[in-house]
Amino acid sequence: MLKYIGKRVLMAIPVIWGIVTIVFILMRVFSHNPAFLLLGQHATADKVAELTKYLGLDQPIWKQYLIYLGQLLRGDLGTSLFTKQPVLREIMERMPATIELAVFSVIMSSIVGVILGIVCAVKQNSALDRLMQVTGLTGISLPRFWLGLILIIWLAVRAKLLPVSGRFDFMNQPKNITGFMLIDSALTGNWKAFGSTMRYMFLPALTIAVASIGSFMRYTRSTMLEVIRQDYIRTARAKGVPEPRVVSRHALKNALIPVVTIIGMELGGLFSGSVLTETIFAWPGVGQYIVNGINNSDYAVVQSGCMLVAVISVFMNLAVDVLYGYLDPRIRY
Amino acid sequence: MGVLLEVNDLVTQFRVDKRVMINAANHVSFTLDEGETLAIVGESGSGKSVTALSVMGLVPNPPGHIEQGEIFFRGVNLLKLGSRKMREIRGNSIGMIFQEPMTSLNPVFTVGAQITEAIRVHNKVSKSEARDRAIELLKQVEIPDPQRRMKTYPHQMSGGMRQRVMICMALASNPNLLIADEPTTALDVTIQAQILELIRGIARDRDTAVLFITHDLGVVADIAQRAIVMYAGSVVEMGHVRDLFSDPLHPYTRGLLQAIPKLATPRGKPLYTIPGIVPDLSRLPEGCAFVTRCPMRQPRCRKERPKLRTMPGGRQTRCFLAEGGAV
Repeated sequence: MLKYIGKRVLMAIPVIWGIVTIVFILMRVFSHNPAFLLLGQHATADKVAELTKYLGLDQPIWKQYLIYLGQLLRGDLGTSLFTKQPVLREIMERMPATIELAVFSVIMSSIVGVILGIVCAVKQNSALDRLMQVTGLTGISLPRFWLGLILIIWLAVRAKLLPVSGRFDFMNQPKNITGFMLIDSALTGNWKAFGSTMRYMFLPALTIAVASIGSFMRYTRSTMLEVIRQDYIRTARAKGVPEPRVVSRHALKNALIPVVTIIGMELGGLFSGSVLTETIFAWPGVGQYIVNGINNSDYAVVQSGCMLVAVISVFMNLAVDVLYGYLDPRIRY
Repeated sequence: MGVLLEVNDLVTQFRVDKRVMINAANHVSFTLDEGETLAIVGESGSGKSVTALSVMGLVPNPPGHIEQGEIFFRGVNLLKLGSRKMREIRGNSIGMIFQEPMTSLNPVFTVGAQITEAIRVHNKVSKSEARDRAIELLKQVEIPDPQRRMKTYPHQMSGGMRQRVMICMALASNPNLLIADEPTTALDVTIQAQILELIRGIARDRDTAVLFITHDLGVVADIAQRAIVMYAGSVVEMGHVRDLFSDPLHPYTRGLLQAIPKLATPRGKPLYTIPGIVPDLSRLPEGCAFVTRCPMRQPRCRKERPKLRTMPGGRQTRCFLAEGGAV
């Protein structure tokens, strides 16, 4: 098992290298000299040349590439042109917000989605099942930016049930220990802050979850329906196993194997920042950071952001595969 | 010995199309005595598996359901039992093993977990007691090194081994009746012989009645005292195995016996086959279901459906020829 994981991590290196290279080339091909952008339209040619030199952009492209790779190997993702802060540090500061939102919404949507999927499979073709299928499909099809705005209007602005945007309330802010506000407030026993954080998180999490619930539900339903027809389910019934246990134990464990992939992929996608949701809810996460980087033509930020997305995808794939081995004994590495 | 299982006029229907219903088991009646081994023989689609699943209450619904009939097991009509009571009988006093050992065990649980589950569903025993009993059962079905085998997963075992595990689970609560639905079909010949010997041993030593479903007449001779021949959902002949083999009454049974390859058959001579194919159950002929393939058909057979008729000595057959004695 460890050998397998080690091998997969090694295999990830060329993948990440390839992505880094592609991102590097694209940035050079498609963007202007950021020195212009930074200095504004009234900058003198001298100033631009000076900054270009300072940024190392006067070097030949291959040399820039080698310098870039060298920096990456040392864990240096560069410095943001705007904030003048190391990009790695800025990403790390924002990571907890993104991860917290991602984990919260995926837990919410996988529990709800899987349970609804099982119910639909057990009550296949009933009115309830059909209604759930249509609702689920609607949920998947709703654009997140639109849904987010509608939820803000309904639940925050009109009903005043939840805060409009942001991540926390300045009055109820937990002491920063891990950066994960729910964990921090629980650690310090600050339950008021915990409740407040939950309230802030709920709308963005719901916005993300509506689509995920739909897809997890539909996926669980179809795999359950396939599994329930298998011979070993008939065997379980022939043994006299009660039907609820047939479904929840014999069928579900088999059906979950493919569902786990979908959940893992979703989580991986969210870890690199749900760009739209974070922007709408002013959620101080990685997605928002990357969007700002793109708007500002901030080389280092965009490069690192793309790399982050790639690295997270690679490792979430690995995590899903490892989990597979745990769920399905036929797969042993 | 008393009657253990009595099936009366069982009709199990399957919906094959929006408007089309077929009788997969068509007015099937038979009895099985305690400790007896009864074989049901027939081609695919003859209704033998459906009959067995009906007894177990495991007819997949939809598309299938039991339309009418009675199934008495130790005097109790199983079709009148609620799902809870029926569940208490399944795997407890009736055990069942299936045709496909490769797919009949749950791939994600260990063999041990699956056997102990079968024990614990019906018996109030602790985990460790169930474990000891499972190991004991594995020994009885002649699985070597049972302690170690408990921890293995089905995919780590051969087909024969898996079928032994299936038998072991079916025996978990000492059933009075073991239903074996083509248990050897998917296995190669040597393993087949071993499994047959095992089932025969169980029937003998535990005095368990066996309902043995097969399409292989050779197996019938090996294992059963009595046999039922089914065709297109109906019983066409029933009797003691020796009578059936020495003096088949129904032309279909005769055809089946002729189709068994014999060592004496000269090389190059084509094996005997019954001409034609099994009729479509949704378009059964008006008269006898076998009429299109029968070498001895008479004009009457096309118009009128023969009844199952009891002959002297308790044999039954569904053929007009048996009436006139002109066989």
